[in-house]
Amino acid sequence: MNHNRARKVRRMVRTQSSILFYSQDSKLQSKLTSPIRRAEFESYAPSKLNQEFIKQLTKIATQIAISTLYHDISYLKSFELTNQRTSELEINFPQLQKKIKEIFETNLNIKPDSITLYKSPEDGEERIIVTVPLEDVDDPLETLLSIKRKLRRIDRELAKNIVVLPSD
Amino acid sequence: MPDRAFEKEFFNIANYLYGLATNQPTSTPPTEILLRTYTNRIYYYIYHSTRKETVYKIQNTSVKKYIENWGIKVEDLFQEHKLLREFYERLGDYKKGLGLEKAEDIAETLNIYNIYRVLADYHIETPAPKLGRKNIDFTSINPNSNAWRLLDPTYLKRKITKLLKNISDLFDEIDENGYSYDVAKILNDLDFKRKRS
Repeated sequence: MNHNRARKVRRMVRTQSSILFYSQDSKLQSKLTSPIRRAEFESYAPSKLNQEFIKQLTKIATQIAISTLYHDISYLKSFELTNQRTSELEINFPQLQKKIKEIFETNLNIKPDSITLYKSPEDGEERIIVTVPLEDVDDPLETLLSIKRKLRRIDRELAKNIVVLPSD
Repeated sequence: MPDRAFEKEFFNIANYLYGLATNQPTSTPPTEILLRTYTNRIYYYIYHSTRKETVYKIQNTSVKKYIENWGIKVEDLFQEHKLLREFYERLGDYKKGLGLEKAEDIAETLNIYNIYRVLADYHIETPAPKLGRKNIDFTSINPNSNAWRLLDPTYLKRKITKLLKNISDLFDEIDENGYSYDVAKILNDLDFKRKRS
């Protein structure tokens, strides 16, 4: 038994030393001719996919390190923005939807076709799109702007997040 | 030049051509690709014309003095289209009832056309079917409809000339009434935020 164990240990040491040796020199990696050794080597060495993943990780880590060096938290905040799925607008949207509907119907005498929350994939900006029916209008853009002006006079903070578009 | 915008256009067209070449046509019809490029171009045309006018006006008013003192180059202003929209929004918010309603209108027109552009660029599933991807198609758009009239080139030309006139009038008012310091302050706040991020 002892003899066998010694053999095993010797083999282990040999393989590990070979792995270390081959991993240091990339040219010698091609000299791995025997399939058993290659399999052993590949089981220990990181695969190609893992290597790419490690490269990306190092990139991100360096960027974080640079940003922390310059006391800049905006880069870290960008991660938060992507992970953060619920914003204040999104949470309060059902309440705002009712409020907007009431304002449009009572103060502006317009029935909005749809009120939707919209998040742009480019900037992450959030806007509420309100579509409004416009029938027989000479200047569609100016009517939209006039609706927005009236809205601003009623509720200025709410109007900031709203964009009015024609429904048809 | 907005490289990002043209990248998108190029990708859309190249993707379609690749599909033709490999006999694996994409699900997007060519009419939609055309409309996407069209809306993209319209927005960037508006953005560049407004940017040009604002930068020209800043250079020729007393706003320039304050900006140069704070170490901001006038030529580098508004490299991002989001900044331009934010600037006009803040200008509208800054002082109420001082003839700055024009700024609010400019910001709103930029917002409207930006949303049209983004709707055309991306496949977004909005809950309302009328604003969905299906509606942005040549076949589904009625040429007499109001949404289509906003993108009509002859109509747009008139609107943009009016927009540029509004900008020049606005900056003249600012120069006459002595709000140039406040305008420079807004620019300073905006640009410093961007530089740190």
